[in-house]
Amino acid sequence: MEEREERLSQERIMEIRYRWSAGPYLGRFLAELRDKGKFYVVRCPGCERFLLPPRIVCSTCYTRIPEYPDGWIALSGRGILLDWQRVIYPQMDPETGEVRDEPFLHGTFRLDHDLLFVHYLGPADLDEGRLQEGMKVEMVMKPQEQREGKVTDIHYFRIVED
Amino acid sequence: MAIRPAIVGVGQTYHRSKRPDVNIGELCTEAVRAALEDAKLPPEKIGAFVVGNMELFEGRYMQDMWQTDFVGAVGKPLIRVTTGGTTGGTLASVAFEHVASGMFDLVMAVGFEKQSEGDTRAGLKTVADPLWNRWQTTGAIGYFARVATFYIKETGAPEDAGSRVRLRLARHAARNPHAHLRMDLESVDQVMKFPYLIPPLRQSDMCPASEGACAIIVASEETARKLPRKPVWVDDWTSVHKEMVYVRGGRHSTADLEMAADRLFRRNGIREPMKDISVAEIYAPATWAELEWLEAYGFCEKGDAWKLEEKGQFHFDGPFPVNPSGGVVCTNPIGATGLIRVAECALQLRGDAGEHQITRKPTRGFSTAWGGSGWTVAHLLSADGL
Repeated sequence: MEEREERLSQERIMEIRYRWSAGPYLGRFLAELRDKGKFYVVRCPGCERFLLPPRIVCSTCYTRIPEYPDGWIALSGRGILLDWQRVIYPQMDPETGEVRDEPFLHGTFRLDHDLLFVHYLGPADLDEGRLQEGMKVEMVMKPQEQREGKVTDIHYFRIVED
Repeated sequence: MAIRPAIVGVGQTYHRSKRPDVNIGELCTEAVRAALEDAKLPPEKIGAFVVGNMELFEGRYMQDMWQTDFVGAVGKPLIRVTTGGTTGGTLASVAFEHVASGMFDLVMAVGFEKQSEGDTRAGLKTVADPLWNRWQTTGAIGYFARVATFYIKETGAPEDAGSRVRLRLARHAARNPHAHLRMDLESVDQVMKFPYLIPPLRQSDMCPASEGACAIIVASEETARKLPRKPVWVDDWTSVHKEMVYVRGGRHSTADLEMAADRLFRRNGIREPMKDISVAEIYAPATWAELEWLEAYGFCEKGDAWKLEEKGQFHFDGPFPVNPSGGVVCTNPIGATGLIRVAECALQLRGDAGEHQITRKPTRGFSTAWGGSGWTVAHLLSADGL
């Protein structure tokens, strides 16, 4: 009788804990979002472009960006729907490693000053049939007690009727 | 450039979704031995090594140390390069630079990936800033669904444009003994039956997760002329990084691809890329990206790639062969993928690609690698006696 050769392999699960510093720019952005529900961008004093998220140097002209509040501008939280993606295949949640089975919508929004931003579209808008490019959207924050200083303190963007 | 480098030998393993028959070191050995055999060189002739794979994927710190024995580098200079999706492309660039500097006569670059040993999806998600946008990453699939959405929106391409690319690449892969996905596809309708991942992106539009390795041997001009293989000359190479925090749909979406190709073409007097270059092996992990990126590199006008695809222009026996190997959507051992593009281009320019040899006269080749949603490496090669 022919013997099948064993192809030995071994499995381990490695759990690693990380803690990342946000720094004064992104840190301030996240703190303002958490504490006041304000969405800040900063204008580069060198080339006048708006930086989202705020960072220490302009990535185009390498000018040093002032710390909050110099040149920091709170956006209105309103914008226009550019496009959306219906995520229908099971996705690993990058925050938890858990698999998300339920479908959800990612939208790309054009905010004030032509800044593009990607976030969820709200559950009320999951019915894709009514979505159209150019619809007006607004930012919906999580309740104060649920905010953690993360970009997901924004709950989602929802479609607002004209 | 001080010393002109040449590719004097290439080797790759066969690629599958799992290679449980070998460990990582043995996988590399397969590619190394194939390259040495191709170059007809004994291992002791190699003066320095460049090795690479994806960070995190196989979960080993100092992978280069583990590879040393298996590539034949004990006691010799060896460095690891790990630049994400572009790893394989950067491996080639660094090997070229080793030779161009005049410090080494013969350098070997080795790339591999063994994706089933770790978690590719988890590894890829760590590319995004954990404090800014990691929560929203949907991996390569999410990114390329956006490429497809925008390509259709901006060029008016029909929904089957991606499937036509798959059909061409499946035909190419069927002729390449090293290719991983060998799908038996005969019509666009057949491809259009594959399920959606994120509409309009279908399963058939994406690359597989492959295991395999690739190695190339680079020599100085003087040494290359003495070796038995017809040398493939390395004319130029570059890499471009794009601003990392950006949203697709913004004006920077394909800036890295445009800048890299434009720089190489300008520096080398290439005015009509489809005429002056006879074969392209480009790193496009999705069918839709191939169309969008052929336009971004400047091979055709914006919005024309899907029309040229419909006319069969990109077939291996057509006027401008693109990915005659079957490309990345058929074979993707990530750390080796960019190096396979270079190796496949070299085979084409030597006339040694066998069943998938282009029918057009091989003159110049263009190979790329891409990764991290904003980084392009590109190489320009030419045939001997051109």
